[in-house]
Parts: sequence; C-alpha cells; structure tokens
Amino acid sequence: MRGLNRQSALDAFQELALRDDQRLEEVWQRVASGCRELIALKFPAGVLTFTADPDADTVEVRCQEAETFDPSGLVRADNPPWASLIGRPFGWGWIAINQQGYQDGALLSFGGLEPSVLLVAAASSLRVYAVNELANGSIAANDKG
Amino acid sequence: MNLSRAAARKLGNLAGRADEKVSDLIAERGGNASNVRQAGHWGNKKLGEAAEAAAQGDKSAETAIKIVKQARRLGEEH
Repeated sequence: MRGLNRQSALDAFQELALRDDQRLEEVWQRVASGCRELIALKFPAGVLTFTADPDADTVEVRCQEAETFDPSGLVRADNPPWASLIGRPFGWGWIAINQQGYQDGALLSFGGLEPSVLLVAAASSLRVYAVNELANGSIAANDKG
Repeated sequence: MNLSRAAARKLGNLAGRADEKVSDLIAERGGNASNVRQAGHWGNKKLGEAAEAAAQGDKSAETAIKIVKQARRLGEEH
C-alpha cells in the first residue's frame, strides 16, 4: 500500500512533467484552525495537490486536470516562496521518506532540476521551506582536501 | 482534558488520547528511547498540552506530536 502511495506521488509529478511548458500560474491553500492542510499548484494543464494526512503526518500528492480544479474553500497563497515561482515551469518532483518509513515530504524544482521548495508534514499541517544552494565560495572555502 | 478545536486538529485520530503522557504514547506505539529524547521536554507532558502549544505555533510541540504519530517504524517494502 505504501509502495503504491509512493509510486502514485511520483506518477503525479511525471504526469505534469510530460506536458510541455507547464508554468506555475497560481498557488492555493486550505488553512483550517492553524493547519495548512492542502496546497494546490495550478499549471495550465494540471494541478498538483499536496495534502497532509492528520492521522500520520504524511503527504499525499495528486495531479488532476486543470479544468476540473475547483478552488472554492481555498485561499490564494501569494507569499514567499510561491510569489517568485509564478510563471516558472515545473521541473522535477521528489518525495521524501523519513527513517521511520513515512512519506512526509516533497521537494520541487521549477525552471530546471535544482530543488527550490520543500514541503514537510508535521502536526497535521504542511510546512513550506525555501531551498537555496550555498554559494560556490562556501564549497571552495571548506574544501581543503 | 478539553481540547480546543485547533489542538484537536493537530492530533488527528489521537485527539482522544490527549490526557496521556507523550513519552508513554511513544513507547506504547513502538517508539524507542531516541524518539522520546527527540520529543524533548514535551515527553513529560500530556499530549493535549503539546497540542495546545502546537496550536499556538510552538514548533517543538508540533515535532513531539509528529514523533507520537510516527513512533511505529514502518517495515521494509521488500
């Protein structure tokens, strides 16, 4: 069952990635009692939806056709890191499985293969992290070998 | 203890166990000593207290709740 969940998440990413020029148009979320339960990333042809399972703090990923997407009950998320990603094409998606065996995170790239957003479920809510590569200078400074 | 709506939402299907101690729940659900340590000072408190703190935005309380939920280590796929 868990394997299927993992594969379905990866299939959702692939379903979107196979379509040409899928640029992020809008980001929606559902927040209830302080919990960000759902995040929906709307692209021209499809919508990637991330949902936190409140019983296990895992993340479910789905892809649906854009024309079937109904944002009622959701609010627009125009804050960082999403604001800077609007208009950028979807790149790759990764899922994260922690040492306990739970699929509790997802990593996303836009406009290439460098990850830029990390989503992690905790206490029934999706936490959003911006991912930034350290400058090359940092590597050089620490690489004495 | 009576939980606020926000705190109950933080706990999911564990809302009915709000009166139990975090460390006891971790152990009962198959967690180990490392899991209890990761829960920090919340280990000695009731799950409901952690939930109320999490509802107020306390990240360490959220972490403790997550450790309880995921205390049982899932088996290998193969």
